[in-house]
Amino acid sequence: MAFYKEREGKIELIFPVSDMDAITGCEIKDYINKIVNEVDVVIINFSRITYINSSGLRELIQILKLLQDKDKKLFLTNLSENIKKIFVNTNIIKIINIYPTDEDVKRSL
Amino acid sequence: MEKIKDYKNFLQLNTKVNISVRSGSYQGVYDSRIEDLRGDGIYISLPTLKGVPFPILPGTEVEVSFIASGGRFSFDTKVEGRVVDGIPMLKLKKPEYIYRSELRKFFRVDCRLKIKIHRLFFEKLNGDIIFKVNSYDALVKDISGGGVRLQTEIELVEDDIIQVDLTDHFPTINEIFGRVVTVFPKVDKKYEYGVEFISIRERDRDLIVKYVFRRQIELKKLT
Repeated sequence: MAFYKEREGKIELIFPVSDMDAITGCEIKDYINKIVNEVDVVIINFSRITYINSSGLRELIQILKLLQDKDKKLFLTNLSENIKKIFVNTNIIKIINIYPTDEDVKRSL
Repeated sequence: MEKIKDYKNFLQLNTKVNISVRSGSYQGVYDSRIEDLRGDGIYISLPTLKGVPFPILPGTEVEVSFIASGGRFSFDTKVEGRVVDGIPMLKLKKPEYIYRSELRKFFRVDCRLKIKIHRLFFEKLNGDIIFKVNSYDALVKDISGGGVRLQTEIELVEDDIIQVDLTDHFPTINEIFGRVVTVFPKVDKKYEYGVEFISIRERDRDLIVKYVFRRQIELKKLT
């Protein structure tokens, strides 16, 4: 399993546990595709992610599109400093909502 | 390099190690693993190269290096014998000290590797999200497990992120994100940068570290 999951009402929390690459990204996307009609918000918690590649970034964009098409929201939390730098430099930070913690997201809703 | 006498917290069972043989008929860098630590011996699995075991001869002097929490460690020792205890192993003499270098200060070697670097961007355009990649040629002038010094034609600034593609030299390593940490003065109208790896798979880092060991041996032979 490339990720763990938890449901809190209409919020789905996803905790990837391995590299954020095409395989992990695709597994998460397939899962979200199945549950997209059951939730309003998806939070992907990056606390265990130390490696991401361009395929992982592209999968995140696919996940965002999948959720936006259904008027749902995507948030990323707990990014390491290095991954945050990658997100800033590639402009992902202007496209996906990024918060320090899951609690910060819940407070903002 | 920090000298460590009490190293039992660093050298543990199942630690993956690189075994460097600098002379004799088995010269090279091999993969192995700590199988047992008892008495005055360190017992390692038979060293392998591309999956092929090499039963290095007793009496051979080797350098053992490994990465553990807290840094990169190494020590010199000697193969004392071959042992079969369920699996075939080599017995190494326990060293009096091991040495630690910080992970950030991986040993660098000079090289001249032609590679590609990429800059990635995502852009919102007419409601859609576009992914763009700009690719450039670059020449790696030195390399370590922690980063590269490279020369290229594009102008970058400190903190820029690039993707380092080493596939021409390491077929499996095409996706390392690196951050520009140093901008050197221009040489021959080309820009030169120190790049720190900030997103790299540990198995890819191991491959680079092994290359560095091999290259060290090659360079020593040339001098």
